[in-house]
Amino acid sequence: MLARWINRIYRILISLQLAVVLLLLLTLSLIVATTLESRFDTPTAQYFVYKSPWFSLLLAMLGVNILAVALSRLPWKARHIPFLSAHLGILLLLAGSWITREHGLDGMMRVSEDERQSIVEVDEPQLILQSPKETRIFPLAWIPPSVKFRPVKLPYGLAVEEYISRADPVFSFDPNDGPQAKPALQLKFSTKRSMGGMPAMAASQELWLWDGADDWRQSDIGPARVILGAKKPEQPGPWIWISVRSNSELEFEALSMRQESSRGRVKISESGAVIDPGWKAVQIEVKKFIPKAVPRTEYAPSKMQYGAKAPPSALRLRGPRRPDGAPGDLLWLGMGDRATFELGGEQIQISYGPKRVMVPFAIKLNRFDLERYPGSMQPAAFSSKVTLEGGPKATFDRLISMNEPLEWKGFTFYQSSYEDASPRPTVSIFSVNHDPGRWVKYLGSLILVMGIIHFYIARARRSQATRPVSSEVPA
Amino acid sequence: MNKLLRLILSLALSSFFAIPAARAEDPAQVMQPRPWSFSDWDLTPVQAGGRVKPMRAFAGEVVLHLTSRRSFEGWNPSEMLLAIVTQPKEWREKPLIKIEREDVKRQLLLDVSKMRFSVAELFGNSVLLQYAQRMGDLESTMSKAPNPNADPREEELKRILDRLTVFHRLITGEAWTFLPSEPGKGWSPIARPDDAEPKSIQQILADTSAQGKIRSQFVALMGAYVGGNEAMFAASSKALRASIEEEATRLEPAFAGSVLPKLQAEKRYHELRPFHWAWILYLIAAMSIGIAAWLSAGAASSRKAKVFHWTGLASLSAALILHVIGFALRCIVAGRPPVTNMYESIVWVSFGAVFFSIVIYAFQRFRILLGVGSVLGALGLLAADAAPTLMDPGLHPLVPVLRSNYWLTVHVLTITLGYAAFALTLGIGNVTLFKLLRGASERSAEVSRLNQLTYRAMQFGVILLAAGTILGGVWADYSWGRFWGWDPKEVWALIALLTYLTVLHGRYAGWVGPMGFAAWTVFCFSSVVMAWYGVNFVLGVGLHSYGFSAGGQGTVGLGVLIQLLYVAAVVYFVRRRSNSSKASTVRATPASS
Repeated sequence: MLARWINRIYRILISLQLAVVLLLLLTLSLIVATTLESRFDTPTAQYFVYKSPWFSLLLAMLGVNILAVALSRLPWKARHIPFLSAHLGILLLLAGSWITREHGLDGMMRVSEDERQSIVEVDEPQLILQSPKETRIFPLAWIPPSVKFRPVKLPYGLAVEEYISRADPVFSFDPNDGPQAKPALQLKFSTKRSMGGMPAMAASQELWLWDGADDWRQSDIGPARVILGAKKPEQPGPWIWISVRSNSELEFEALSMRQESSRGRVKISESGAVIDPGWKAVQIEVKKFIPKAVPRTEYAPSKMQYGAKAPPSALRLRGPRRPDGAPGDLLWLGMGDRATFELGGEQIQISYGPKRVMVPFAIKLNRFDLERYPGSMQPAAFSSKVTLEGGPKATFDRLISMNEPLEWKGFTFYQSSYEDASPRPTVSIFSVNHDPGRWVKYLGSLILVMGIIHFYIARARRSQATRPVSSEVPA
Repeated sequence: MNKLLRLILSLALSSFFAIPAARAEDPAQVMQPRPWSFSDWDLTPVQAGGRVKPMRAFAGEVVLHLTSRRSFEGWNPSEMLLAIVTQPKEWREKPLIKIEREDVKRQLLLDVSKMRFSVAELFGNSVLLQYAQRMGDLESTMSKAPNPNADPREEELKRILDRLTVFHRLITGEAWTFLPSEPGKGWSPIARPDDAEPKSIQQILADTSAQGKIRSQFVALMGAYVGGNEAMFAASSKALRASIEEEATRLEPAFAGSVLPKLQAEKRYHELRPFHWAWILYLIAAMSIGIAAWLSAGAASSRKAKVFHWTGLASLSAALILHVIGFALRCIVAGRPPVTNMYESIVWVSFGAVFFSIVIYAFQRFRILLGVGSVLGALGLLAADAAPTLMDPGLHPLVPVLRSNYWLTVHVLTITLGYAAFALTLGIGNVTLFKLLRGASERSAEVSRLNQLTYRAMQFGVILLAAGTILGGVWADYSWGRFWGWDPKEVWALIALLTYLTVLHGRYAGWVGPMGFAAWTVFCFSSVVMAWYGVNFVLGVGLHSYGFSAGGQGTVGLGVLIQLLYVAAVVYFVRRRSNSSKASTVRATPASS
């Protein structure tokens, strides 16, 4: 009974029908994948096809099928060589790819000039939990926006409750009495009418200013700059400089495009207030004024849900249960953010970001060079002069350029791209790779191609031998 | 206010070039091409798009960009540019710029029934002006292919603005980068719009520096052109060319040895138009071989059939020679194997298809092969020649990652030769289907021989495509750091391989008969079309982005559809015929027994 079943399964495994069905399924799924990639983006195609379990299963089935067919021809004879090598080549290619996937490294390293770097970032998001006792890592693979997120439970009563595949930060300010609290101001700019017959550029725009960090102290609205704080700007107009007089009064000074200055004071009432620097085209409204505030970052689904320029993911974390039994605080973590919880007097740090791998040496970028085609902005070549620092005996200078990688201790550094900047880019981006499956794949490729060529020659010989001697058949 | 808007608002064209233009005797006379020799002018070196090229090539690109044609109303492109800068007022009124999209015309409140619009008309278009204001500074789209995923209407608007910019730059002098510089630096234009005042003739002539000399010679050349003085034009164009070459060689000694021969080759390439004549000759070859086959199939082989056969062979050889010359000239000019965009790869693939058909013919002596080869050569080159706006025929510098002649040759040539072999199977497959439709039996010697040839060519294609794809993996491993990354271009090469492998296995198992094999062969070529054209022009995602472009989806899609309908129709009719003949045999059997 069992023998009959094994026999039946074996018959199916070595059948050409199975091979053709698998080939067709593979073709179909690849067509679907490239369509997904074109319609949405690469991560989406990877999630649904290339990195999905069923796709691996399909490839594994193909491998099993090929292996079974090869074994079914035992004992092998000389005429089997082309058939065997073509199929062995495919098996090796599949095996090599599997080794690469399981044990390889494919990441990016970003180095700016004169900086030393040994961290490689891999596009595999993860949560890292650090307590004084231990460090634990939880991989959280990216999920497309269309897929429902299932909450993930973490130790210490922590849990990931919400997930946004493509998240934009949303900033707001909360009243606070802590030492970091500083005045915050929300302004609304609206264009009163079109300028000089031209259509208005933007109808209205809102922004926050906060006196707690340089990034927040100023903002640009069209050609004008708005500044909050104690320091008066020294640049030519147009600008508006706002300073806080008291919890209910602001003072402003403005310089127009024609360098005409104006100043005034604004009392904040319940219904808000208006800052009027005497500029005809714009109206400035104070929407909110918090004398002592701290910033708060939340995340919302981005308008850009797909594509290479779409923002990274963010997640919402539930903190540990409070001593009184109430549920823990909710907290947003964007890609690269970290937070600290206190639990039983212990500090627990949690961070969300790409997987980081340390290489056992450092790369120092001495200079990044970009050459453009003469008379155009089109890049012709770019390269990085680096020093590899791996201890006293393994420190040397090298040039990494396109098509000329640097290899050291099983890691290969490829010139991948750069961050464009003016007057010249100074940040180089390397693709870093460690691939133990490489030689298996190369060997498989070689055997496969030799096998197909052998097939061709053997077939030609056989058909010549068997073809009846015939005179030419003219067309 | 951005640069583009400023440009459109500054309609004052009192520029550097207003000086010679003012000396024109009769404007109407200059609006006709002159029957002169422009050979020195054609060869004048100019730097554009990242390399130094002869005026003939530069002008060809500009005219194609402006008018969407290789040459406009019979003008030699280099002369046309000269005519434009010397008579800007007249040329501004000429309907030069082609706008095809009806929605764009409607959006710009233009006359929908017209195809071409003048520069003046578009410069004065307030909707376009608003759009330019919104756009901000834009990089030139000339020599840059659009992405298929971009909004086509937006792309068209950008292209219109870009063409206006190009026209404007011609007139202000910014486009004429004649003034050589040290190696690595960009050449300078003859004049810049931000040069405060247009210099007077006296000032230009008084400038005795090398650059001043080039400037004044150009002014003299324009004067001679517009004044209708042929002898003076010949002298001044010769002098201008000589002083640019001299100055370039002074600043970069390698110029005379390395760039000048390329300029000659490029000018010759443009004058010869090898691929244009090659497709005509291929077409003649295909028709003659076809007629010869038809004649010899009817009566006993006649002398007429022989004449046609030899005419076909002669024009096929001539076409092939021209094809090779064109390819070689492009190699010389570009200094790399010319297989880096759609135009170049079509040229190479059609060459491969012709070459394979001749090689197999040499062994098999089957004349149909030559006919199939000629048809493929003619179709490929016709497509490349007929759609210059879709497939950019210009020679452009490569993105950094492609700048490896070794890998480019090894990977791209192999893979495209695979496409060529598959194109040949497509041709033979179609001939097989045609024979079957005409009543040939599936078991006839002819059909089985055609099948055998298809099989051989397909195996050849599989070897080349597999090897080429793997070599691409090795190159990717070497320059990007991974052997295989499920990039759409890689994936579609794999899909093409898988479909052909499926057919080969099906044939091995005996599941497809002679007709099935021919039908599947033709069907499978759609995967090659997708891998070759579709990934770049339809999908437009992935790492092979340097080849992306847009357009032609309708034409290519229609071609594939017609091809597939043909396959379906042949299979249907042949099946029906064999069923009815079977039915009659079945009915006949009891009667005979």
